[in-house]
Amino acid sequence: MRICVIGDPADLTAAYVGWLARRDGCDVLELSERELGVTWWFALDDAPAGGARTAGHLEVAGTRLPVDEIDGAFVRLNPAPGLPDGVALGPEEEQIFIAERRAGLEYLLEALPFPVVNRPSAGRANGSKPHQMRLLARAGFDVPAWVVTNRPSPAEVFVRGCEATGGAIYKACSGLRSRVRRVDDELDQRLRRGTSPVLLQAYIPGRDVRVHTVGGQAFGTEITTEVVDYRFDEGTTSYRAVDVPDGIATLCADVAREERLSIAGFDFRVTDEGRWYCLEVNPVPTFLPYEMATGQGIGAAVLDLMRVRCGPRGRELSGIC
Amino acid sequence: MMEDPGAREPIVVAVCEDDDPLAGALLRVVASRGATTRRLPPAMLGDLGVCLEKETFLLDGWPVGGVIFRAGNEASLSEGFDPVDRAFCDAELSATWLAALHLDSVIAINRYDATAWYENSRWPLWRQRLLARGVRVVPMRFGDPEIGETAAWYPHTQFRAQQAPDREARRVFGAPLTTHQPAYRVMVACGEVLGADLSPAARATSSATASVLDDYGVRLAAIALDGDGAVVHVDTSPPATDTDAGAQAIDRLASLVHAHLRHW
Repeated sequence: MRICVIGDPADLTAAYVGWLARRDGCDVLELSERELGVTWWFALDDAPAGGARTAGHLEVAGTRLPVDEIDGAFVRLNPAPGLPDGVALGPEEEQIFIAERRAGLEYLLEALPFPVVNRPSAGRANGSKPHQMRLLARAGFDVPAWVVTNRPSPAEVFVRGCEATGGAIYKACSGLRSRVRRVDDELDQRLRRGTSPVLLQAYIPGRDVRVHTVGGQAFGTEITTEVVDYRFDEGTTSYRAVDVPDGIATLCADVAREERLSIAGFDFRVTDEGRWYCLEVNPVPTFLPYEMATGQGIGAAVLDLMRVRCGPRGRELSGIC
Repeated sequence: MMEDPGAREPIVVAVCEDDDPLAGALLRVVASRGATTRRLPPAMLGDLGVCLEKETFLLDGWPVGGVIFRAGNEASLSEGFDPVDRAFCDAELSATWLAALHLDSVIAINRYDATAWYENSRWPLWRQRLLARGVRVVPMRFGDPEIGETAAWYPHTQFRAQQAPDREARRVFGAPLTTHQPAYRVMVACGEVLGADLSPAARATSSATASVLDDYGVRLAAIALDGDGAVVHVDTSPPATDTDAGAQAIDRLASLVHAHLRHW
């Protein structure tokens, strides 16, 4: 099997998937975004006459590889990929260069005729938490009550409504990484000063569970922590594998398929009564800490998605990846 | 839970620059049919009081029933904020407005899905979606293919024909190249092709494209076709037009808004 690891070679998850693949005897092509057009490039026809799939080739270090001879790709893009070595541009030209190169790379990743984990267009609802929570609720998940506002009055009303059930937290509305906090004086001051919209959400007493889905498989990990946002905890967090109820696993798989996510990370708060509240779906989950702590075979499952393509279910699976 | 939205009639807002005649004309027709309207320059969105909850979107306390969203791809939404905070504020506002456009209580023109929203509704996205639905598009090659010197380059981030770049640039940008040029331009609104004199092939392709766009929430667009009736380009934020098709588009969209407000 031959796979590509595309994007940011310094990304730990990408490096891990590449290592796993090599350990399994796969041929791994590391294709850095910064090196596009320098050490590798492509030529594609996305609508070949008489063909339903993209045709063309990658050229990597002087070797031409037809896209039909590649089985899959794992993608991690750096938000600030930088210019190729030796290229210097002014700030505006640099921005245009990087945006056009990124768009070209994204076109490639959308058009490649084999499983791509994940294609850049998949799971984009994660860029808007309120939008994504509505989609999750419509899909059948329980989601916590929420409001988006940049004014003190609606925020105060919402927080008062949450007092009896555990209070409220706040976080960014967008997909930008931000720390989740309990509603505090700082939020109140920000709202009174004037700020961008903030997402307030009912705090759900219980435990954190991350569910990774890969294809149709679900891997549950419970996180024990003493803080509100375990991602920023450096001392008290521990992980253990947990079973995911069939109904929740099915919902996760359905949403991942609908969002065209070969791999996805679903964040839950689970109450002592066993009610699972879905907080969000991450389309670029960093599964490494969970796999390292629990021994779950998430990375191996990612490779299986590509391996299956070589078998009779390949064409069927490549349609969802 | 919040200010009583039931106490006020819903308003229709156009998020657009002052020099957007199409949005202005549409807003005038909507207003002439009795709705309260407001034009919002994109840069001032950050100055408005926002409340979004369940099925309600309030701007400065007014319930919003319709949005004509025409902010350009590069528009800043938070000019009133400190420059160092603007990128973050833009992301937060963008996330808020995407969610607002998808409320059942809001009729949106256009109601972009999350992928189109975050990819700035760029033409390559629509090309791939049309391809996936079997709509005929012009042949195009990407990157460093063998293609004649007469091919034009259409950069991914804009649709403006340029001379094909040298080989090094083609490789870096995965350059889209084609020898096919736009011959016709038609407007579509609410899934229909408006007032164009087209060949049967071009009409069939245009209708199929309009249907795909409507399925994705794009109620207003312009389509460029080559001489054989294959799609060259889709523009989901077409500029003003003083043609019959433009007037028809405005009339249909205004009717759509009013039908929505009647059931609000």
